Amino acid sequence: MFPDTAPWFAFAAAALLKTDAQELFALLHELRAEATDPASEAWIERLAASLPQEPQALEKEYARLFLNPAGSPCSLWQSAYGDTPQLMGAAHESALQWYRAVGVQPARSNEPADHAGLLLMFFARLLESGADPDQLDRFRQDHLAWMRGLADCVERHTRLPFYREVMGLLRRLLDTVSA
Amino acid sequence: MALTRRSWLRMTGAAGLASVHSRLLAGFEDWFQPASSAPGEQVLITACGICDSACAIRATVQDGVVRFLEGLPGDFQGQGKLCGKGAAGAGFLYDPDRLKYPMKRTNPRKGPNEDPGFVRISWQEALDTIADRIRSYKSRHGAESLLFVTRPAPDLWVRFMRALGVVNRVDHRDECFQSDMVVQRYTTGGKSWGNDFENSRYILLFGFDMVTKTKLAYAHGVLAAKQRGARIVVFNPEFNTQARLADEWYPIRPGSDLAVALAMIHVIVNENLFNQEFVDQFTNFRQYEKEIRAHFAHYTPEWAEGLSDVPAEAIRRIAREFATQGPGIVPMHKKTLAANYMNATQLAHAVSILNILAGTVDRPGGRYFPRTIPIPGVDAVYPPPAYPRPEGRRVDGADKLPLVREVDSGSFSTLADGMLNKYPGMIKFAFFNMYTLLAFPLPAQMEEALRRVEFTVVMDTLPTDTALLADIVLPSVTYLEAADLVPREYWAKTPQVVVRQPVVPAMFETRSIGWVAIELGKRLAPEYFRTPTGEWISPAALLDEKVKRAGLGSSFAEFRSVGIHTRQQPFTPRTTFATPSGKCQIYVPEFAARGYDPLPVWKPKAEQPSPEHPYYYLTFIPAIHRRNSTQNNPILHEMMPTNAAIISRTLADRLGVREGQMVRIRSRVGAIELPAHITETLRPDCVMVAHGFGHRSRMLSLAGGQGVRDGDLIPSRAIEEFVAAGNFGGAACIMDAVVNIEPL
Repeated sequence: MFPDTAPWFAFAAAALLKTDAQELFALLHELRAEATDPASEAWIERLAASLPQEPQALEKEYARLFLNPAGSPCSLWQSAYGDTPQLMGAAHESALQWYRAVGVQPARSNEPADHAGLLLMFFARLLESGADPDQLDRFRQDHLAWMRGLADCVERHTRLPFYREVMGLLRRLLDTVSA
Repeated sequence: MALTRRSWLRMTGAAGLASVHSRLLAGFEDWFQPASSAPGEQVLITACGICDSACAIRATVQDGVVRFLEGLPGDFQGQGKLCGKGAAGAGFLYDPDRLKYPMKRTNPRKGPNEDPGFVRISWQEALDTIADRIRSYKSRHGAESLLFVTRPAPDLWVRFMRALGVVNRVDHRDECFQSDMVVQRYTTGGKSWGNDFENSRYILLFGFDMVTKTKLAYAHGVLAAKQRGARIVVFNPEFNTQARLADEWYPIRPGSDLAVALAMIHVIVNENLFNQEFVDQFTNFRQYEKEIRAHFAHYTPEWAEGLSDVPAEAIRRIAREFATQGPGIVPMHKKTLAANYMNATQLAHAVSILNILAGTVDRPGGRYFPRTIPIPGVDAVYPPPAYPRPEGRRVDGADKLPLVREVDSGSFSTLADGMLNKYPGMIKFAFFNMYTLLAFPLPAQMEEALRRVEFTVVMDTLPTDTALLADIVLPSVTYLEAADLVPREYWAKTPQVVVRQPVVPAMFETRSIGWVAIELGKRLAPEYFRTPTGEWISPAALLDEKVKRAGLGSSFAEFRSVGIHTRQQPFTPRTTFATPSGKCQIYVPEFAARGYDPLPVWKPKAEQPSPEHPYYYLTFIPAIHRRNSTQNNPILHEMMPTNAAIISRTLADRLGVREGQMVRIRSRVGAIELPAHITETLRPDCVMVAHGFGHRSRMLSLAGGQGVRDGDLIPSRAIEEFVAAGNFGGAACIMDAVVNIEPL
């Protein structure tokens, strides 16, 4: 399964950065066009089927899980999962160093660099660029391993099948690159 | 292949992208851009914003991240130091829970079990929606239908509210120093935060802990006085940090400070121990001498002993020493009882008289009027068209307290009663700016009142419990992302202004309330938000103009680089005072003209112990926290994560309560359950609970669900109670409850 994981990581990133169900559906179409194995096709089917039909459902759930003014159950920023929960912690600094090493930085300079979506998107690009396995593994350990905690949190709190599926995909991707 | 910039560019260039997964991976370009060079380390000066002391900060910023905050040498407020809260300031900036984007509610039902269904919206949509609502409610129901729960600052925000003709702006000062403001206006002629402790020889401290629970300038001052041999006398039910530094401590009966103060005046007047020169020259004592002597004649120390448990001989001796071994000072600030009991207005008056009799008003070693560098407000820089006259009813009933209205204040403690009982349905729109429900007595009642408001906006840095009831939530900058000029007043014998500047860019989509004022102003009152040349007022241009007019430099950018400005000038004591008579007024004829007591009269606190509720209920703000706004800070949370029922060993033994055992405390309005903490430092007829805890569980990841709300036991009030009790300064009575305690 997942002979080429880069686009899958890119999709997981998009799912944590965007709340437009149509756009995410279109990205799943992209994945499907390139899927070559039944397992991948099955994942795409499940993800597509779990995308909510109701307008604003994804926006509401994203806000409830990650941005809620009434209290967000789960944070999307890696530094929030450290011993002292905070934004702009060591993980932000480390992520910035990774990005700068290849000449890029987050477009939104006033937001932390360790957003799960940014980290996944960057990792997808690392995979795509054929980065050294050691480098990939170091980035995985530095900036992806914590996302199992994020997945636990989202699975515990989400009311939408879509985010449960995305977290399932994320776990599977993490397993794949850890193997 | 090693990861290098070269290999990255080669492998992910346009040609590579076009070949595979173009749409998925092209998303990268939406979120990343070419790197610019990393900024080096910067050290920036700014002003703390946790409390109004606004100590100057040196902020070390590395690569756009605040790394360290420390006090600025030469700063009069912090004297080169920060308190624990100030040093932990980055925890507010980088709180993962902070509000990040404007949001709107999609579920119209509001209730404890309702999911608000918030979705992210643009600032444009948020501002347009708010403006439409204000316009609609105002045209249909008048300006009285709009409630703004906010401090009267900054100037742009005040201009916005005045341009709308807002009648109902309320802030927390009735729980703070409001009664003292009302009294000072007529006794000495102005608010006086300045306490020249360091030059005082005799410090009388009623109530609050000047050393650990209030401003650094005060703590430094009291410690300096102690080192120089000043005598310190503390009246407090608790043997607090300040009491440990004192020469004498009296565990006074709660609510009886007024009796002791009246008896001291009795001694000083009766024995003619007052500062003759000051009293003759600068007060109205001689004009009303007969009335004053007759009034205080029966407030003897023996009488006060029976009410206060302070021995008469001690009262007599301390009064004599205070008057003759000075300069002496009696501060009256914030929770130095100015808000605690129904008799706090009388106490503020009595305390003011003690300072006047000591002859130290605006004198070395006494309470003084801050010397500041005036910063012109927006109305001075860009004079507005005439403001509409505010018309309508005060929902908090503060119009029944005209002296409170004179200081542009209102009443948190009566707001819920007004909204629910006096004027139900009157408030259609509420805007909460940086206030949480925990700030109100009986928060559940305020929550009920707010639930009935048709449309509520909450602007804050954190998801406070008011946010749950909001229709629109606006994310606010923290003080580390804000710009301003800050003249401080807590140590102000020499004027000094410090800059407040964004030490990092505002995170996410946070904005300042001043910016919101302009944007709403453009939509609702555009004529008030243009410069004389017709452009929209810009915060940056306004700051430039303020810097120039205040003589601080040629631009805000220039003053940012300097950071702090001190104007050396000699301290010249006042010889005229801003009262109606130009003198310090012991007897206040203006109070008499309104039917109030022209001299302070003994009145008991509102609620007395009874068989049903035998214990005094004291609340306090611990040194580690700032009211109810810092409990989610990771460092401060670690130091003090929750509250407890603090009781004496004697009381614990009587009740059969062990350390840590859960107890239920019940007042006539509610009950709380929390663990007991046993101490040797409190009167056995009291229980003490720290304010600021009991945030709702799903609100804040650290503070949520931690501890209990002290306010659940504090009755809210009806304005008529204040009028009837002579509480014309509107003190909120936040310590006036009595309770019982039941082991669980």
